Amino acid sequence: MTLNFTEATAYRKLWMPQLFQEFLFKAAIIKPLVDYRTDNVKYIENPYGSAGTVTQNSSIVGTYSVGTYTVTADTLTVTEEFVYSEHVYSFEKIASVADVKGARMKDAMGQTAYAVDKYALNELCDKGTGVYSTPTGGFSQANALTIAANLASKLVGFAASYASKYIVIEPSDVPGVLLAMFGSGFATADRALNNGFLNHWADFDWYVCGASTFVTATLGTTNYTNSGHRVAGVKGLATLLMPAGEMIWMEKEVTGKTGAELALATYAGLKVWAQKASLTIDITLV
Amino acid sequence: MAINVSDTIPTVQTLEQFEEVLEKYKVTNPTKYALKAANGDFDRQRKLLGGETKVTAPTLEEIPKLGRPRKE
Repeated sequence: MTLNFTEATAYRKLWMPQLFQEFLFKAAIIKPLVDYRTDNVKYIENPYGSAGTVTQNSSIVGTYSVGTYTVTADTLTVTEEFVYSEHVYSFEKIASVADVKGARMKDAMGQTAYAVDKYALNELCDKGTGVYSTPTGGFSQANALTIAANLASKLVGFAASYASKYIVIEPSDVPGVLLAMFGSGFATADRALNNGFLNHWADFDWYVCGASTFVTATLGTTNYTNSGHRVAGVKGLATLLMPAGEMIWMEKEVTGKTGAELALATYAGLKVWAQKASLTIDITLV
Repeated sequence: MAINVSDTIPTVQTLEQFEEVLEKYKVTNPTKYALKAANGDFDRQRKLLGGETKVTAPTLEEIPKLGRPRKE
């Protein structure tokens, strides 16, 4: 039998909601890990004095010699610029089934947010002076708790209690960590078996960033050798500065073209402050 | 489709690219460079790029059982 209708325009169509399909964005996780600021400045100064020396005398002599101290500058500089730009022509805008401008705006923001995240996580990993190498196998089921315990040991013994700890892993590390969550303990294992990945486990907040976030590459102004590395530490000790309240959206009518040029710009700088840099730990997967 | 900004800068793919980044890294972060060099981190990355070692997910058979004792 042959159908009577062969003409495509005679059939009804259904369009998905009025945006193009959303891009599968990678996670942007940096904000809770750092002291996040949006001041409209290029520099943040945070100088520190040299460590003083305490003399314990062998007997009570009643005298002392006066020491000197020096002050060292420690500066956060906004060095990175992230830009995204496209042109939407007038006809595309008026004749499209989708809200082209809205869709492109959403895409721009998602992509830019991840680009900033990628820079910030690599910078955090690179400038943290705490170091730790995992047992062979990286974040395997057998190693996950050992890694957490070893990292915890690097964050204790200080006058202040640094309770808000984090570990950032990539999706390829999740199977080992998840199996360890499923198999360790009783109520905790049951919680993991019922609910999946535990965001807080072994006294660390666990974050999963996008795949291949830690790279050996030149990102913007800086060179990184972070492939096979992850980062852990105490929250809020590094500062991420993004002036102008995160992102600046621009729409420009330009000569010689219909429609508008869309542009998104944002600026960022991250600083791991010197005095507590050892509390940001560069993890090497072995 | 828009360019995925983040993925325009992937990790290096060849030993030549790696050595190029490494030369620059030596200047920009000499302290960490020395530390990573001493730990053999760069040799590990060279081996991965050269295909001498492969990263594979652990299999269940290889993993010793942890915690949660069997119920009697």
